Amino acid sequence: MIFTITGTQFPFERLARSLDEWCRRHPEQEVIGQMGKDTFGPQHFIAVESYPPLEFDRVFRSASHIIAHAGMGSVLTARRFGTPIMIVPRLVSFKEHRSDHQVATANVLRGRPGIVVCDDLANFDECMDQLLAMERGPGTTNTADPSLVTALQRFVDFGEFPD
Amino acid sequence: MIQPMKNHRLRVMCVSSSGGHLVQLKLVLPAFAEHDLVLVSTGEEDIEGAAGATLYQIPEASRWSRIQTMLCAWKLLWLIWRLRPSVIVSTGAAPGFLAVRIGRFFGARTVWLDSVANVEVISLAGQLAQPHCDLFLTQWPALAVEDGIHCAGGVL
Repeated sequence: MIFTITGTQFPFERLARSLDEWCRRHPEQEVIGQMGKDTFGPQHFIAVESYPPLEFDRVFRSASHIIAHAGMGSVLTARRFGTPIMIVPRLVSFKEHRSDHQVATANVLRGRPGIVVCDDLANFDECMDQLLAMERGPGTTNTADPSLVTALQRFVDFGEFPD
Repeated sequence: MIQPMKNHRLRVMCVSSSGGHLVQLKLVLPAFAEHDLVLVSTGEEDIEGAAGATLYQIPEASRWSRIQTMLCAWKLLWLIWRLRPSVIVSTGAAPGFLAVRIGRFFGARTVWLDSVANVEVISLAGQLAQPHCDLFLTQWPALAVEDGIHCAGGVL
């Protein structure tokens, strides 16, 4: 099953449309989407506005692949479960976000294992092929850099600033 | 400012929006393991990764919704007034800015950890929060050039 997550804050109609079209041509694929307040109403995959957290984790865990907007929550959760993920940055020009920071996020994530970046939805099919060619990995416990945890600890405990 | 002594249990209030901001905030919670931890977020969230923390839910706030933002600020004001945290920590976004502002007013030390998603510029909420933060961290060394912006690593 392919799980699609576009955050619950804003709709992401461009991605919903591309995915719906892809699903029409791939009826053998089971696709579930947590699409937020999406006004598009896909015909060829199951769309849910928002899952409660535990249910979200359950669906995420059972997914073979993830499609998401280029948000860190999706990327970090995919890394935790070892699930291959395709990310599509939201763009201000389509009124999909308040800033274009997802483009920069996608750029720093490009080339990392288990991540496909789809900047242009014209290439959606090729990106899907790349994504589906990837296998689930073992998953890793996400941790912050020890230096970051230490810096926060030292500031709270002793009022010290990092170097 | 009175420096806290080691082994002195403080109340640390961590505030963020739901989603990616909260995922990142949870990853740095081990830093506050010795303290009385309060976790405040906008979504209905599970407690995985926040064991031992007291949880509170607040309304979502954004630049675009004045009423929501006022409700969020009101709830934060009430929580901070009642709980009097010694330290406020936020990863963003708008609710974190409000928490930092209100926390400062009540004498808390304030910490901002800008989201790893902000690679090229500090987030809008972070820019607003910076003058009211005692410690301001970015996760990208290239952004830690300005005075008062530190980088000590990240969550990626």
